[in-house]
Parts: sequence; structure tokens; C-alpha cells
Amino acid sequence: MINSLALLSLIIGIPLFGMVFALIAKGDENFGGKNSSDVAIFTIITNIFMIWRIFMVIDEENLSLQLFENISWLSVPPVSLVFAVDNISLLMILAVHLIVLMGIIAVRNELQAGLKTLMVYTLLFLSLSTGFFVSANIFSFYIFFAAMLVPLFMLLGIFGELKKAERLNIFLIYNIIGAGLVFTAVLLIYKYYGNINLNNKDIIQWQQNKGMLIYGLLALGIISRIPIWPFHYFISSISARVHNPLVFILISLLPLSSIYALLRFWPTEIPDFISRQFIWVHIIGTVTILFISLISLINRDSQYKIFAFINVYYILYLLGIFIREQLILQSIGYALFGLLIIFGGLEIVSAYIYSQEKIHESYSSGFLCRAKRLSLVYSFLTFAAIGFPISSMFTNNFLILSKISSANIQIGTFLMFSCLIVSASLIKEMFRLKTDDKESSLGKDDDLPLGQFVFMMFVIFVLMMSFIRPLWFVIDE
Amino acid sequence: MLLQLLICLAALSAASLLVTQGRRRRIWSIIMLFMLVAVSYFLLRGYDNEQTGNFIYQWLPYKSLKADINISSSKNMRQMFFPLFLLLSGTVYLTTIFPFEKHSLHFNTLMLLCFISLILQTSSHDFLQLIFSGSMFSIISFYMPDEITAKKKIFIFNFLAEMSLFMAASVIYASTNTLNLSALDEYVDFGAHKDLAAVLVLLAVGIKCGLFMLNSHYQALKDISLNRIAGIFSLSVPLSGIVLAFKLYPLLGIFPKSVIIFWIVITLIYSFMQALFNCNLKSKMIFLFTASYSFILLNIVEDFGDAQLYIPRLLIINFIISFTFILSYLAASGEENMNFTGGFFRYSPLNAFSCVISMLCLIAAFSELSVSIYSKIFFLLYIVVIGCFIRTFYFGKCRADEKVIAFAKNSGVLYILPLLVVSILIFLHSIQWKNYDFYIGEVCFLLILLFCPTAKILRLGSASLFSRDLVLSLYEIVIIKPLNYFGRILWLFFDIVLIEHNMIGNISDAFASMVLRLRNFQDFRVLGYLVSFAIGIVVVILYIGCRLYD
Repeated sequence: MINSLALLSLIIGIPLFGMVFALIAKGDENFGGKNSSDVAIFTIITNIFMIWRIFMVIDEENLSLQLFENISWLSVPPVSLVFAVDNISLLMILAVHLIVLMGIIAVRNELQAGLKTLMVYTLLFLSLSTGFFVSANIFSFYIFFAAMLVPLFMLLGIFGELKKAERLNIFLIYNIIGAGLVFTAVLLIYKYYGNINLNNKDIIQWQQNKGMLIYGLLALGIISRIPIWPFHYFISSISARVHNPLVFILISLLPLSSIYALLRFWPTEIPDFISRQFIWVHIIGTVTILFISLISLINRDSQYKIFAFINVYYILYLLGIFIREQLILQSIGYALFGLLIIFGGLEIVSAYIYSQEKIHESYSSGFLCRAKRLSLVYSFLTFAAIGFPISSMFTNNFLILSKISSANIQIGTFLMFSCLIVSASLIKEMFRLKTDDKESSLGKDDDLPLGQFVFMMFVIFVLMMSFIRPLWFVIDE
Repeated sequence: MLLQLLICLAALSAASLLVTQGRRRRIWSIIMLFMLVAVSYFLLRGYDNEQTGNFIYQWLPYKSLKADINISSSKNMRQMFFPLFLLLSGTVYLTTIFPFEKHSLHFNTLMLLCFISLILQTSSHDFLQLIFSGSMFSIISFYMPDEITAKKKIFIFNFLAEMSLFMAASVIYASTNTLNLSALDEYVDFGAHKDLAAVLVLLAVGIKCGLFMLNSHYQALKDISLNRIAGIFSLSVPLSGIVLAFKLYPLLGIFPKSVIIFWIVITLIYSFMQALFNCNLKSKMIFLFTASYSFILLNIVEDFGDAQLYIPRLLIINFIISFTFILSYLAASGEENMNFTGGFFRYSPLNAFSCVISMLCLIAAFSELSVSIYSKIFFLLYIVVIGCFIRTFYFGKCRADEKVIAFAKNSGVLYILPLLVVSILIFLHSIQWKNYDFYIGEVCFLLILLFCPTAKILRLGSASLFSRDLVLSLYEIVIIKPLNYFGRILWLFFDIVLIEHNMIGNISDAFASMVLRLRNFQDFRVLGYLVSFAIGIVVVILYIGCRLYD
């Protein structure tokens, strides 16, 4: 399907326009920040409508890429950017927009200094991540894959609150090495096959034209963004210490780009001698999940628990991709939608609780006993996160785990056990907040503001609807 | 019929969620009760007319993942609904009148939601609906206790049960490629990893029904109010465990029957011992109900008679017995410790009289249900426990505090009248004058009332076996602490020592020294030029070599 309205370029462009408007927003430091956050919110809502519109235009039954857009960039050498979407990429874009919107709403009243900078880089990241999700050829894929790192590094540097500079350096070097590996693979692909579209990726032969090397580099470069043991610490030592919810959300989207890239690049045919080695990926992934979940159980930092929660599921979906079934790939897309929204919601609510505890210098417990709105939202999101059937994560996790168990029951059992432990750590945190402490000065007045509560209820509604039918909002024309 | 009932209950619960939970909660609860009575009347009419409208909604229409929302059930299951609905009305009534309940409307709404979950669970024909309805029970059970420790334990145990079921279902689906429960028979014959699936299902059923070693969450309920305990044991999680056992019966058949029966019998012995000797009034009630659910499970496993008809009757008996406990609790102004009760016959004669009469009537129902040697023993033990309780509380030596005695009085007509009326109705409905079990039960009960050594029982009850949850302490030592230590070791060794202190430090140092050395090449010394030149030459030679090799 050829897209004559350039809808995809538009959804990349709108956040960029928004960024320019946010940058030139008038006012002093405080009001400039407020204005820029208003611009960001307006931009994201506009883009969400555009995404909804695209959902109406595409054929959701068709699993292949649709709405192709071709933008010629260089004539010599011939390089062009190609954009296209399918259900999964659109769902990813929608989820990212929703959680970024949640993040902005959460920080706009809390953070005063630097809000404008935060909004500018956030919109830039949003534009680049949207570009990444709609990229349909090898060059556009690489450009957005690498470019996404720029606003993230800036945000980490400014809002990361990192005490040790070498941590950030290691993180930066680690990601640049990953991007370099992908870049090398892209150059090799360009040399042997040209600027191919991602739906033609199967022309890359495993045993010709350095196919093994290409796939190897791609796999290493892409997986480097997922916190696989023993490299998980480079990511966890950075992300789990970021207390700005919006920055934490953005940094946690890095592994998502890897999962999505693997979904896109996954070859239809894989030689047997390669697929036999996948057991090692499963073993390493399982060890990582077990590792992260056990640490989350003993760690008292709520941020680490949320970090562990999202990364355990990221790795689970990574292992799901290695099962190599079309149905599973589709399920991962739908599950990720639920996962991101639950993660975003939990992070926002936790950050709110953390900020209130900080203001009142009351770190004990029992906030949820007095804040009814907060309690409702937090409990629901925790129920969804631990795997109760109230979001699209449930059905799709069921499928993914059953397929992994069918391939290897031991791995399946360990994965289930790890999910159980990470859920236990979330439950532990919920009960910490629900155990009343009479000495705590937090009260009814510190409850979630009404506007934010209504928005979170809308998010919960979206989650519940995703359980009933993942694409409930699509009306066929 | 079920769909209409479900919609009615959903509308009623939605309405009660909307109305304020403030001062008029009892009035709203009474309105709810009247509505439930009206619905039960129509349910009875529909039940007589055998109206069996089925409802099926295609939820997941995919070939490889087909699941429906099915609201239709077998005739036997449907026959359970009317008595269970009466039980629902009874729990709503009890919650409405119970003076210590501050959130009666809220709890009544939860009871309605439990009934909705029950309809969904009994109607389920596939795993997704079964897990969904089971999870609804678990989420509702989170809100049912009004005390945080009980809330925590019941939620965590139920969560474990749900996860076990989820894992079992995913293993079964991986083997059969269908979610339909009708494929279970085939799976039991030819499926992969059926032992694992069976263990997981047994774990889920065991937790929900409160089998031995898996009932700590029910023991924790002793800190919540009595009406809530009665509600939870009438129509909530334990009942969902029973329905689960029915639905997944073929899987339980994988185990040798003797193993499950042995486990249930151990549970029964433990529960009856606790019910007899435990000094806490609420714990007594909890263990008695746990024993009842274990007994129902025994019936299902052993396939005695018509278990579906057996369940509501036993649950109704349990509910009436909970009235007996509530009357005693109210007479003693909320005193739970049996060591500080006794001799209340003098201060609350009507309560004592109602409890004795009610028990004498219920023995007729017991004798009707005694169809096997197991049930005869079970009901005899049940009579012994209740007999000992009534004897200790009303007729034993008075050990109560003066303040408690000063406030002791007969409970109101709202408690005593329904208890007597329902007990007598049950007696008239069940009495079989030629059944010798009835006379044995009555004699046994009266003998216990007259001669039970209450002082010895109370002394035994003070032992730590009956006053502490030893199983939970065992879990803490065997599972929770080792997991915490293991996590801490992993974190300290790998994250902190190995990566943070060594790897990150070493990489930083390596980069720093490399940058320093590289900087040396770029100074104005001749050696620097020479080394740079030599490196360039090597790179060119390597490149040409590679090209020639290609």
C-alpha cells in the first residue's frame, strides 16, 4: 500500500515541530518550562490522533509492512529513507507516545528548573523513536537506531543525577560500540545487497557474502541494548538510579528498540547449526532474568523493582523471538504494548509517591492507606504487572511462555519462577505502601491530583480494553 | 438464566459502588438485600421452569488460540446456584446487621462480585475463562480482609495459586494446542509433562482449599471480623478451589488416589485438632471451615455420590454454624480468647439456648449427608468440636473478665430468630426418623455438652502447636530467607565486587592509560612521528595483503 498523504513522515515531523515550538516558548525559567510542557502535551496528543488515523487506514489483518513512503536522500551513492508500518510498529509508537505523555504530565508540576530542556530533548527522542519504528529500509533503520542515543545521553547527563561519571562513560562507550557493530553490519549489507527494504531482508544469505558475519554483528549490536548478563549492570547502574520519571521512562525504552529491531530483522530461514546454538541464548537469558529478579527481591529501592520488572519481560520477549513462530512474534508486539503502559503507569505513580515522601520526609510506609485515588491506581497497575488477566500482557505472555515451555520445559519453568519472583518484589512494595504507619505525616491532601487521576483512569481503561481486544480502537472504514 | 443473573448482580454491584459508603451504608445494604431476595425468587422460578439459556461470546477467534466467554453450565452446576444464592443473601444479611462491620456496603458488593466470579468459573469451558474467573476471586479476596497481615497473606497465597494454574495451563496448551478443557482427558493419556501440570494444579487447589501446609493464609484471617470470615468461607476463594478441582479433575487423577486422600486426611486431622484445641474463637471457626472444604475435596476425589449437591448443603450448615460463633462473640463483647470465657449461660441464656437448639437441628442434616464411613467420621468430629465449643463457652467454668460479664447480654432478635427458623427448617427438611446416625449424633452432642473436660482442652490449647503458625515459620526458614540471601550474594558478588569495583574501574583505567599513551604519539618528538609512520605503514601493508588474498 503506497501512502500518498505522507502520514508517516508527518508523525515523525510533528514532534520535531513541537520541539522547535518548545524551544522558542516565551517566558522566564518557570513559565517557559510550563509553556514548553504544554506544547509537548499538545504535540503528543496531536500525534496520537494521527496514529489513530493511520490505524484506520491500514489493513490490520495484513501482517506485512504497509503505507510505504520513499524519501530520496543522496543520489550518489544512492541512499534513500523508506518508511512503512504494520500493526506492531504502530502499537509500539502509540505505547511510547502514551507513556511519554504520562511522564510529561508527571514532571510538569514537580520539576521547575530545566523543564524546557527536558521537553525539547523528549520531543526530539519521540521524533527519532517514531522514525525508528517506521523505518523500513536498512539505512533509515540504522540512522534512527543510532540517533536515538543522542537525546538520551543528553538527558542522562543533565537529569541523570549520577554520582559517578565513569558509569555514564561506560554506558556511553558500551552503546556506541553496539551502534558501531550495527553500522558495520549495515555497511556490509549495503556493499553486497544495496539499501534493501526490511521486508526483503531474507535476500541476505547466511553462507554467502559474509552472511554469518552480518547476522552476527547485527545480533550483537542489537542485543547489546538489552541488559543481558553480565552486561546488565552497565544498564542497571544507570537506569535504576535515575529519579526523574520521564528520563527513566525514556532510558528504559532503549531495550525496546532492540526487541523491535530483532522482530524486524528476524530471518525466515535459519540454518540448523545456528538454531541449535539458540539454547545458549535461552540459558544466558534465563540466568539474567533469575539474577535480576532475585536482586529486585532484596533491593529496597522501588525504582530498581520497576527496572527489574520491565527488563525481566524484555528478556522474556527476547527469548520468545528465538522460538521463531509468526504467532509468537505477533504476540510479543501486543504484549509489549501492555507492558509499556503498565511500566509507565507504575513508574509515574511510584515517582509521585517518592516525591511526596521526600517532601514530608516520611519514608516509612502506609501512604496508600490514606490516599484512596493513588491506592486504586497503584493497586490496579500492580495487579496488571504481576500477571493478572487485566491487560494484553496476560494472554500474550501465556502464549509466549507456553511456546518456550514446549521447546524446553526447564527453561520455561525457570522463566516462570523468575516472573514469580519479580512479581513478589512488586507485591512487597505494594504492601509496604499499604501497611499503615501512624507516625507518617502523609495524608489525604497528598493524594494524586484529580486531573492526573482521571488521566490514569483513562490509561487503566486502555489497558483493560487491550485485554478484551488488542486493537479495540480501530474502526474499519 | 445465568446471563440474566450475572447482569443483575453486575448492575447491583455497580450501583452499590456508585452510592456513597458513608452513614447510610446499612440502608443501602438493606435495599441490596431486598433486591437479592427478589432475584432469588425469579431464580427459583427459572429453576423450576428449567430455563437454561446459554450465552457464548467469541473472545479470541484465532485458530491456534480460540477462547470463548461461555455462560452456560451443566445441570448439576446449575442446581448449585439457587442454594448458593440463598447463601449470598445470608452473608449480605449477616454483614448488614453485624455491629463491628464498618464497611458493610463495601463488603456486600465484594460478595456480589464473588458470586459473579463463581458463575464465570463454573461456566468456564476453557482455560482462559477459568484463570480469569479464578483471578477475579483472588483480586476480590485482596479487598475482603480489613486487616493488612491477613490481606497480605491471602493475596500472596492466592497469587501463587493463580501462577501455578497459569503455568499448568501453558504447559497443557503447549502440548494440546487448545485451551478447551475437554482436551484434558486426551492430555492425561498422551500429553507431555503431565506430572508437572498435575503438581501445579494440585498446588493451586491445595492453596485455595487450604490443605495442610498450604493454609497459613486462612489462619491469618483470625484478625479480621467474624462476618468477613463467614463471607470468605461461604462464597469466595475456598469455593473457587472446589470448582477448580471439579473442572480439572482428570489432572488430579494422574496422582495415585491414596496420596491425595492421605494429604486430605492429614488436613482433616490437623484442622479438627486446631478447631478443638485452639484457644482463639475465630481460629476455631476457620479451622472448622477448612476441614469442611477438605472434606468436600475428599468427596470429589473419592467420587462419593453427587458432590455438586453436597457442596451447597455443607456450606449452608457452615454458615449457620458461623452464626453460632457470632452469637457467642457478641455475648462476650468481642472476646476472642476462650481462656477468658465460660459460664455465659447465666448471662446470655437465649444465645446458649439458640446455639444448642440449632446444633440439635443440624445433626439431622448431618445424618442425611452421612453416606460413607468418611462422612460419618467427619460429622461426628464436627459435632464434637461444636459441642466442646458450646460447652466451654456457655457451660464451663467462668473465667471471663468482670467487665466482659458486666456487658454480657442476649443478642437481639435479628440474630436469634433467623438462626432458629433456618435451623428448624433444615431439621424438618432433612429429618429421617429411621436413620440411626441421627440418634448417635444427638446423644454424642448431649454427652459432650454434659461431660466435656473443658479445662484440659484449654490447657492443651496453650501449647505452641496451637498458638503459632509453625508452617509459615518453616516457609520463612526454608524458602524466603535462602532466596533473600541468594539474591544478596548475587548482588554483592557480581554487581558490586566484580562489575562495579573491578570491571568498571578496570575499563576506565585501561581507557585512561590508552588515551595517555596515544597522546604521547602526538607530541613533537621524533619518536612519536616514527611510531605513527610505522603504524600507518603496517595498516597499508595489511590492507594490500588482504586485497591480494581476496
